[in-house]
Amino acid sequence: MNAPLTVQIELPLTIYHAAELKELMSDALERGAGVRFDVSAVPEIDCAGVQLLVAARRSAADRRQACDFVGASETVQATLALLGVPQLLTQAQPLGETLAALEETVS
Amino acid sequence: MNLDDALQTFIVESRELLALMESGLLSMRESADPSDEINAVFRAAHTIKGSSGLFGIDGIVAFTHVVESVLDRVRDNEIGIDESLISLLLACGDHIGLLVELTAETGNCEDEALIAQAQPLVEALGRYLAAGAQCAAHTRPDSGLHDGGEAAATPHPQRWLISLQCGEPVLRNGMDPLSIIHYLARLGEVTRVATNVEGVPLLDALDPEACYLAFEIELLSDAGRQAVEGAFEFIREDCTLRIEEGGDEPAASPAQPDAEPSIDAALLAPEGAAQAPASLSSSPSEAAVAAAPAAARSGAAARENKSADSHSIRIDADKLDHLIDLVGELITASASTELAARKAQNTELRESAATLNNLIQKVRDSALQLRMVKIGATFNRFRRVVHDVAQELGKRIDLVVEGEDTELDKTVVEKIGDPLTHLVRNSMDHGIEPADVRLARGKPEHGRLTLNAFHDSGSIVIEVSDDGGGLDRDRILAKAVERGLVPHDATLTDDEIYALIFEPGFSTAERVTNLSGRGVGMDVVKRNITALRGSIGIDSRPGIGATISVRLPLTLAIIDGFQVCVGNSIFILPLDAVEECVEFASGGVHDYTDLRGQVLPFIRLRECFELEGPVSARPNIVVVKHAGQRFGLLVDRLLGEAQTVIKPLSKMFGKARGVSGSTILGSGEVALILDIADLMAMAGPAGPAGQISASPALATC
Amino acid sequence: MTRTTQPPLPSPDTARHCAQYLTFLLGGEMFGISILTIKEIIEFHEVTTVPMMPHAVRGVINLRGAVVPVVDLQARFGRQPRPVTKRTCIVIVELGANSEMPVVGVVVDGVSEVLDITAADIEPAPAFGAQLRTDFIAGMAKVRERFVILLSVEHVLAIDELAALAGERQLAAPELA
Repeated sequence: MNAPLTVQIELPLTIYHAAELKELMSDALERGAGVRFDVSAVPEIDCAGVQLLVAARRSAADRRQACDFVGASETVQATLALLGVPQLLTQAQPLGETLAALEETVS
Repeated sequence: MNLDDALQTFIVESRELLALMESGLLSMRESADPSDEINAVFRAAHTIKGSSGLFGIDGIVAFTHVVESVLDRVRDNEIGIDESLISLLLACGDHIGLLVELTAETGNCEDEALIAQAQPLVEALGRYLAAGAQCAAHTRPDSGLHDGGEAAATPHPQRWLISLQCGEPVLRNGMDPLSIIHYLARLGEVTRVATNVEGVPLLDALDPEACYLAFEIELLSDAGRQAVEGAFEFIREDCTLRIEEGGDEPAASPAQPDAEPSIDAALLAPEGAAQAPASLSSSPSEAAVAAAPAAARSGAAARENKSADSHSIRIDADKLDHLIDLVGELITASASTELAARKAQNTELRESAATLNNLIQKVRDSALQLRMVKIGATFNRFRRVVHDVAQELGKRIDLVVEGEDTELDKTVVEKIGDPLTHLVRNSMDHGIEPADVRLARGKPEHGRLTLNAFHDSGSIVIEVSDDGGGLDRDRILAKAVERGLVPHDATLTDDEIYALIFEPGFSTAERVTNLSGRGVGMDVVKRNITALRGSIGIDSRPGIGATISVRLPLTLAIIDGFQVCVGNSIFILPLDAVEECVEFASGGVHDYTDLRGQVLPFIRLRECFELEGPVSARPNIVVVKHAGQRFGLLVDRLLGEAQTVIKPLSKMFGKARGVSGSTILGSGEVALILDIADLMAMAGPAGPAGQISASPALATC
Repeated sequence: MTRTTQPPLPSPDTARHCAQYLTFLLGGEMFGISILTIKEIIEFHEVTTVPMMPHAVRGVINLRGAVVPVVDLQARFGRQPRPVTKRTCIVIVELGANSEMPVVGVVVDGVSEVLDITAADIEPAPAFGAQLRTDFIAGMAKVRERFVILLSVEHVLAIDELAALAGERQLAAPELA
């Protein structure tokens, strides 16, 4: 089984980079046992970005993988709150504990 | 990704709307009943606000909203129109223009300097709003920029329930529902947003540019249904939209996001989750039906607008230029074909070539017509200039515009803007006297500036006239002597003195105004005009006024020419300038001849240009006319009409006299185009038609 | 009829300090111009004279639809004009994209060859003796026991200067009866 993975996302989560981000997220989910996407460097998010978040989480859940997004800036948080989907960031996956546990064992 | 294209369109249209606003504001002053103008200005501001909202350019939305509020009050007659309000609104229009330009350059208009600049404007607008009576809503000056929510409109807040099922192409078409939600927030208060993500597929199946979202939005706003619907204008084609008036209580819609159920539950069990998506999907037909009449209404409105626009089409200037280049090459190729056909002495071929040439001429004429624009648009821009400058100078000056339908080549139009502006400012500053002086002279208090344009023998003439004091001959002469431009004992005619103002470094302004006193103006104007192969002249009457005439070629691209041969060289004359040709019996030392009883001076081109080659036994004189004066050009042979593309001469020939350009003949040879005006000038001051001059300098070149 | 030849591309192993020059004959002397400025070389053909221009400016030609000025180098160097032979060519020089006049033709008696000249072989212009304005000379290259005068194209073909020459000529023109 693959190891859990933390992936940095540095591009804006917007339509301009959506195709690239899809690839990146897809790869990450392929490789990692669970993926933590660090979005602290993401300056903004739009609807295309929201879809990516949803799709990534959905795919992860589908494969019984852990997946979450951490470090969101206030801008990103505010946008998600505006759209009524703040939980995309805050809610842990059902397997979240597994991810944390895995990290501990590995380190 | 055509967001950029959409944004480009927004920029272009905003500029046009701002121009409409400006012209509406300027017209208001003169109108007995300005309600049409007021409406037009309001609509322009309103549209700019709406469109910028869709692109999420909040800065423009916020500022324009305040302007719109004031205009709305004006519309309702709660605020009266006066000079200072017009000036304020003009300044606001300028500011919006700055915001639009910044957006064009950088994609948004957040700039501290601009925000600071807007402050006094917003405060001033706020004062109008506060003064303007009954409505409770007003903008607080210090937060005017951010307070978009309180409109000056009359109805009380209404709750709206909006459900928006986005179609797949929404994002790809450059729209983002987020922007719309932001925009709605400016119309009032967005009390709830529910985003339905159930349509989002797994990551691998996701098309990153497709839209899978649906929204339920609750809005509290007094903006009215039209404003709310307007927010969705650009998106509704691709979506299923439904807007309902809610009661005063929050709608009893199944509230899925409020309770924040597990998102994963929602993801994993799409049928479960909330009923909000169900409410959207359960009655698609209802939603569709609701959207349909709305769509039909907006469709009808759109169609009305479109029919007004359908008579014109926007063209990319580069494409037009490319077309003209191709037409030019067609003409050259056609000329070669005709030449070859003539040599081949094949009748069928010749006829065919002639037909081809005929058609190409028609294509040429049509193509050139595309480049012709009416000067009216340029002249109208000056209304603002005159308005502002008059205010600065504290003078009252009216602008009269004539000949607005006169057409000229678009490249010429682009280049005369600056020189004309300088001439206008000069007239206003130095020509038109201050009100008290005018009254003392028995003139009306309001000065009058006239812009006129008309065609004259192949050229376009633009006149800037004022009814001021005319040019001060003595002062100009004195200044010129002081600057060392002329020796102090020179005797000059009035015309020569007036012409001195075009010398570099010349300025008679006693105090340098920031407008036109710096002495860098008139010579630059002349240089610009000369660069366009035009000429500039002054007609001044002391105490009465002055008229500056600018003469320019109608087109810079193609010439209807008349070919002549002198020695070994072929030259082209602009056909418009040619009146007739007469045989010349050579012999005789004088350079003038008898044309039906009138004296016709002529120039011997061979001598003038120091040309070599065979001399014809039967030379001809081509009689040409320029600026009302008639003279002749002595040539060896006449070669007939030819239509060719003008190729400008390189800068190396900037000082060449008597030629204004070159062209490539059908044979591939380069022929020079004669500059009639310059030839006339070269002939010397004794040149004018119909006069015998005793001076042998008549034919000096 | 024009025969056009493109100057050959620099060879791949051209050392950084080595540059290529087109050499040509003029009045028995060998000159060189950096091939970077050369667009093409065409056979001499009819030049349309522009009246009242200094002798250095021979006129204009039609270069595939563009009207290009042609400079007579001999005249520019203040020397007597040379007769046209069948080797006479016009070298089309590009003065650079931000120059106001990108393309100028130069009449030469005949082109020679393209030479690789290293910086080491180039000496500065002599203070005198070349009988040519020193600012026209970019350097003197020693090639196979003879000197090639490398020309500074920006000075030789300086538009403003050439344009101004025309102005002087006008003023000096004698009155014609």
